[in-house]
Order: sequence, then structure tokens, then C-alpha cells
Amino acid sequence: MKSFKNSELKVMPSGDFQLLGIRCKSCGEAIFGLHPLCLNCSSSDYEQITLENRGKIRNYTILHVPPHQDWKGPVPYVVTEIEFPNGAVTTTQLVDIDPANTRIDIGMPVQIELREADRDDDGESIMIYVAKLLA
Amino acid sequence: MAKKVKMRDVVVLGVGLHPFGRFPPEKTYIDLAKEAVSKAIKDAGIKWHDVQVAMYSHVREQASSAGLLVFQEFGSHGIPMIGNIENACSSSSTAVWLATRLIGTGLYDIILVAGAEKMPRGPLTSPLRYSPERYLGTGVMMGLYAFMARRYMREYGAPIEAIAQVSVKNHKNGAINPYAQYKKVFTLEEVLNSRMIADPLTLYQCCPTSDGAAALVLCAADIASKYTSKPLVKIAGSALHIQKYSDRKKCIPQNTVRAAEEAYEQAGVSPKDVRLAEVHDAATIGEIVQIEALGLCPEGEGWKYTMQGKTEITGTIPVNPSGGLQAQGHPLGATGARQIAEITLHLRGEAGERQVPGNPKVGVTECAGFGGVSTVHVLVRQD
Repeated sequence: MKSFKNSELKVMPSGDFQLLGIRCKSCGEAIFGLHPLCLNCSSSDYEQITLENRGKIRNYTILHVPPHQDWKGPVPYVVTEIEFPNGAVTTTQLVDIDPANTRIDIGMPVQIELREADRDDDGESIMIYVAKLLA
Repeated sequence: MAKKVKMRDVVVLGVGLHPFGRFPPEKTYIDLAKEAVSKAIKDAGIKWHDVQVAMYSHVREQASSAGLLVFQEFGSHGIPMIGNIENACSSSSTAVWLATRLIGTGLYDIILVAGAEKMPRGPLTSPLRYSPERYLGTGVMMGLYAFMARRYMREYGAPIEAIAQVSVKNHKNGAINPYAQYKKVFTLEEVLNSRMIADPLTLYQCCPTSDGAAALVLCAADIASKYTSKPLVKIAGSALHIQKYSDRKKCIPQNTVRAAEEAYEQAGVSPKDVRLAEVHDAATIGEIVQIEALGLCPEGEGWKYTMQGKTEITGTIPVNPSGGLQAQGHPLGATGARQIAEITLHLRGEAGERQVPGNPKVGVTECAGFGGVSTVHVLVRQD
């Protein structure tokens, strides 16, 4: 099991995972993913952090067109901006949802889960993170 | 920050367009660009050999140095030619930004900027072949515009009808523009009831993918009268800014706010001097937030201006008299140069049926692009 971008998602052989980020010691900003410098103030004085596997919907849209010819996902599908409790933000798909019959709104709580996106040539799973509405 | 250096005045000497639309595969980007370049050279009153630097922009052509193949059609006479200056939707505006500085600093007198594209159908997405975005479906441009629309509606209380009205207005303008891809008028109901693409944006609120080409001849102002007797349109302000991380706290695009401030200062004009604008309406909401960022209306009131008809050709601040990306079409590499050509035609009084009335003297273009780029040009007719 591995992930696409090791700089934001660390997947353990057990299937456990961590979402990574940085917290700048200079400006205090929490930022999704690992970066050479703080994206907010360019300081190199930051610490690596693990983000919580939950957050809330900051924005969303329901897409009614497959994004490309090889799309295997559902249509329509939901894309959300997720804000973590520390203020970091990322964008991912909101899964396991029928957007026609489910209320989606800004501020609703979500949890982060892993999904298999693809397998590499050796059959190893390549994982991505997705969001799911908290019941 | 750039150093403040004394710059020579730069004018748009010539403009050339190939109509935007859908053309058969055998009509290549070279055919499109060649026509635009030929027209720009003719309009400028120069000969090909007067061009001292030639720059080309495209985003999607699967060819390296695509522009060199266009320029070689005219012949190479020992000048620097650049096969591609790419900055997403802002590519040819970025080339103009560079060319203005190369002439302004005195290194060259005449530079040709051309942009063209032949685009595949379907949604514009993250270009990466293997990426999480591809599996998640998150890199869709209209999805990002849908975020923008939802946020704007929430923050400023705008109804979707006001945002959709941009499409109604721009298609009305496109219908009288011979270079536009769509020459069809839509009612507000037709726009709102068209197929949903990225909620809340329907099909007729999303610009098409297009084929097309645009070219500009830029020239040092002090020698321009040697070539043309047409009114000279000065590139009085030219700025390129990139979104900052902290900009996400604001709904209105701060890269454009900064670019506009810089360009207006260079030009010595204020937003209230501006008589028309061409802005990046890849989705309807784009036009509303960009006219606010350009200072053409107060923050949060772009949707009201649109509803009140103020941005119509006959309004107080006409926006996208060409039909904008919505109706004119959006061949990515051509759009930036096309916007500057459009404003130039209006300032010369040559825009035909869609001419903005009142002999406008000052116009502005804004071209935004994926990756957080925004390019602003202020054009002023020299009387």
C-alpha cells in the first residue's frame, strides 16, 4: 500500500494512514501537506504535524460531468473543500453519497478515509484520501 | 518587486484575429495563427522583416516550439523567436507583459505576440496524467468556479439569477461579433435551465473550448507614426500578479486587485476613468468577481451592476463587449491577446456593431489563469 503524494499522505503497510502538514512557528499558520517553506510567510522555521482525520465542509460543488474519458467514479459526484480543526484546508471528493437525495452544506462535519485509486505494475495498491459525511 | 525604471511608451500598432469557433482537424493551429499574424502585420502597416522579436503562446498543443512552426511560415530573418510562452489562460497576456518591458526598456522597437489553440472537447481538468486529482475528479476548472460562485452568493447575498445574467449579456454581445464562436442569444431562463455542469453553474454559464488565434504588433510609441495613421493605443499599464496563500481568506481575487493597482498607477488613471473592460469570464461568476477586483464597481456589488444593466454595451461600464469567453470562446493561448485586440478596436472606433459608444479613451483587460495568475493591462488612446 502506498500513496500518490508522500508529502501529504503517509500510508502504513497495515493500512493505517496519516495526513501530514506543517505548522509555521513564525506566523502560526497550519498548512496541508509538506512544503519547503511556510506558504503563508516563507519562513523555514516550521514543524511537521499530523492532521486530524476529520474536519468540516468549507465549500462544495456537485459535478454532473465526468472529468475525463477514463473516469470510473460516480456521476454526479461531489467535490469539497475540507477545513481541519487547526485551520488547514484541502480539497477532495465527498464519497458514499447520493447528492440528489442528501443534504450537503457548508459547516457539516466529515471524516477522512482511504480509498484505493489504482494499482501499480506490481499490483500494489495506490491509495488516496477522501471525505465522508459524519452521520 | 520590480525596480522603477523609466520606460518608453509602448503602443498596440496592429491587431489580427482569426474567428474563434470549431474548425475541422485539417485546419491546424498553424493555419489559424498564420491568418491572425498576417492580419496584425497588415493592420500595423509593417513588413514581416520589421518584426524584431516574435513570441507565441499556447497551452494545449501537443508540440514543442509550436510557435516556431508558425513563424517559419513567414520566414526567419535572424530575430529571436520564442515557440511558447505559457502561463495557463493568461499565456498571451504574459507575452504582452514581457514584450511591453522589452520595448519599454529600449531593447527592441517592434515585437509580435501571437497566441492560438485548437482544443479538444470536454471539461478542462488538471493536466497531470497520474495524480490524485485525476482519480478524485477535483482538478476540474468549472468545479473551482463553482466554489467561487457558492462562496460569492453566500458572502454577498447574490442570487444565481444575477450571476447567470452575465451569460445572457455576453451572448447578446457575441451575437453581433463576427469573430465570436457563439452568435446565439439566450434568455435568463434558458441559461438557468441548461444542463447542470458544476452546481450552481449550468452549461451556458461555462465558456466553451475553442479553436482560434489572435496576434498583436507592439511598437515603441515614438516611431509608431512611421507605420500607421490609425489612432495609437498605448499600453499604459501592464502588471502580472500571482495569488498568495493568504488570498484565500478573500472572495474577491486579490491577485487582480494587486495587478490592477499596479497597472492603474503606471497608467496614471483610476478605475473611474475606465470606459470599458474585457475580463476573464471562463464562468459567469468570473466576470462579477473580476470587475470588483478591478475597482469598476464596489466590492460585493458586481452582481447588482450586472442585474441593473450597467455592464451592457450601452451601460455605464461596458464589460466584455466582445461576448467575453462565454460567447467569443476561449482558445486558451489566444484569449489574452484577443482581449487586448478587442479593447484596441473600441478605442480606435473600429469595433463595428458592438462598438462601445461615447468615443471611449481608456479600457482595461484582465486575464486570470490556473495556478493563480492574473494579468491586467490598461490601454489608453493617444490623442
